[in-house]
Amino acid sequence: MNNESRSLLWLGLVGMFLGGSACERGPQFEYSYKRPAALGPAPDSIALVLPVAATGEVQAIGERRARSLAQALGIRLEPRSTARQVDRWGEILRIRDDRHRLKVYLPSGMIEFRDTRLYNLTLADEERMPALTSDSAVARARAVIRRLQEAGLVREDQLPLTIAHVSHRKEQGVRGARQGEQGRPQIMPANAADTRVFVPRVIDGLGVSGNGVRITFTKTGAIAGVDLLWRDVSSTRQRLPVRLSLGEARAQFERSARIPGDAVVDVLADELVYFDPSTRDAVAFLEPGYLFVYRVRVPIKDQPNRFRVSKVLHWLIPAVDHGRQQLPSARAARIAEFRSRVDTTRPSSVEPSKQTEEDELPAAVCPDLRAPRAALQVALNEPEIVPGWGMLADNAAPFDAVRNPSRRMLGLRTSTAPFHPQTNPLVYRATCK
Amino acid sequence: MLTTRASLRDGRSWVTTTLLLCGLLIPSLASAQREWAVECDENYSQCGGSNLPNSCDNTDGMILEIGSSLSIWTRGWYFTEASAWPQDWREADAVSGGLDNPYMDAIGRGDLSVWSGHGTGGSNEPNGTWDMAFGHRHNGACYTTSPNQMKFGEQSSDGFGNNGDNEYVVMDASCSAIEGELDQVWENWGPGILMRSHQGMAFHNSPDDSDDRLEEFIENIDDGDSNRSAWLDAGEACFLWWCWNSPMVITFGGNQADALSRHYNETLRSPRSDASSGWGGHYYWSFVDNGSC
Repeated sequence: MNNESRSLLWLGLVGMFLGGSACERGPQFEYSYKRPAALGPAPDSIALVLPVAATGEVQAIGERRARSLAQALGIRLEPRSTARQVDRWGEILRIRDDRHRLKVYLPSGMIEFRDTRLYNLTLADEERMPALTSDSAVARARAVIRRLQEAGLVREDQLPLTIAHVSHRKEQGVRGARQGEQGRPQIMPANAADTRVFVPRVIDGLGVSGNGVRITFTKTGAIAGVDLLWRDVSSTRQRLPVRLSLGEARAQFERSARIPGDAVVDVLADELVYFDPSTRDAVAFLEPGYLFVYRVRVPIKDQPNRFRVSKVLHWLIPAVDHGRQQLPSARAARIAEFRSRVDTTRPSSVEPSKQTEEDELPAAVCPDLRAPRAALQVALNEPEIVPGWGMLADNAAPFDAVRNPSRRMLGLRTSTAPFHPQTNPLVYRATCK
Repeated sequence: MLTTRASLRDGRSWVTTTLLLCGLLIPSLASAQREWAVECDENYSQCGGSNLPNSCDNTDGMILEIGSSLSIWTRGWYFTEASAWPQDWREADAVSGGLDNPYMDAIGRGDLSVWSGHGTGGSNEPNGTWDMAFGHRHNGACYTTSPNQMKFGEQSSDGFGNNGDNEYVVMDASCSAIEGELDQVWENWGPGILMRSHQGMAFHNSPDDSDDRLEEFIENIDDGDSNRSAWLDAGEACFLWWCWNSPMVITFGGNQADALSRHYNETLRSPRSDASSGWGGHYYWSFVDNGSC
């Protein structure tokens, strides 16, 4: 082999190596997160955050906090209709009256408040109003948080409103297509129906994953709901050194997270946080660590610009050495036990039922029907003796749940005339009109 | 133009009256037993994609909670991992090899059909199509596509065998209900997924891989919420840092008032026995807008 041949062979090998490397390119990580200025610079030492030791019985503590929250929000639970209930696992306490609902996750102490006449609803007289603006909602949130602080439920200095996240519930409606109809409907943009402010919790310059306060305001600024995602915690005096930088954590994440080689990884956040594992569990501490919040998109073969899109995943890299053990989760153990005994095998053959729920509709009474109670009872108990029962609106046409439903609404033969057993008796009708 | 905001407002008083009327009727329309059919996948090594560590914990928690709080709901099917097949969701009367009749749209099995796993998205959304993306391949398939392969709750003269039974669909997966393609992927222009099904619960963006969202959904219903409110509430929360979900609910009705009534009142505690719209009808949607796919 002469020198020229050797050079060509060498170039060819280098080319193959580079080409091969390109083919086996690893996942592509796209980092978009910017650490909020309100957090300040990332610290180089961290205090541990531990739950404040509870004094008293956990249900009593939960109830006390829930009632404090109601009081801080100006909610007076109606004593006569107020009920208190603990779930079968002893993990959720519910306190409610006819209108308000408080749900306490007892192991964590977190609380949800809902005004059931306002939450996720739009009152008729607010229909045409605009939702609160972000600025207005955040200003109102500030006032609410102050009241929560006065009630001893939160610390205002741990809830920086400058990084509040504001969103809206939106709604709209449209007519669908008739069979054979061509074209597309013109769809109006959805209307903002409320305003939601989430203020994340920050302790000593570290965000607390999942923790914070979410307040939902109606269009008039009334409080429809509050999520008090807040553990009662305190920091240790001793600070522990952070053992790796963000850059080192990124490298470790990219090496360890077991992401398919052809994926695009949208890293939504990579932040040094106190990691709280769950709304539902008790914890021994909040783990300080680099939390990577990300979504993985894997290209679909032969379909350009289309991806398998994962749910949003997370990966935690502990940032300090503390030697503590986290508490086991009773809920996780329950799920694991269920998983071990639940049957998820497929049957060898299947014969489904032939009857839908629509085929077995019960009788119903037209809301404005006026007739003797005894006659109504007989007609409901023995519908087959009443004219119309078992027939369709148009008995000559096939059943159609919308256009040709069954006659099952109990009314009068002439709905505008008074009941009379002979001249205007009870009949089953397809509609009440 | 088929409908306008103004036309919706003009009908307000009539709608309110109808809502009150329907509110009176709903208890007596409620029927007896219902069945859930649930599938999930966590391991994506076969079909490709990132694993989802909590996808089946999510459904496990839901099933446990249904068992303890919604007594009218009983088991239809529960298939996980390699037992969850794309064909189970495909319309048997329109797609070769489709098995929705005995499984996810089965009479006596699939009144509530739930998927927890991956979805698909494009770089040009809304693009009018969406797939359930499975982790395990079956008969060469890893996907089920809407609108082409999915028809749920079809009855009477709808076509597609007229043998569906589904009432509620939950797609706990990414990009499963993007606002700009609801009329293609979920409604019946085309037609889409749902024929006489009442409601779909899904996501306008990528939700977090939560292990308790579906459990929370059932808890909210047990607490008295409508399906709509329960889903928005449970779906919104992402218990991570800098993470917000966009849950979406779409509800169908025979006409505007019926759709609105169902949207605000339908509940798994006491499901409506009368089917919704089939072809035609009307639909409403609500979502918490924390961004799209």
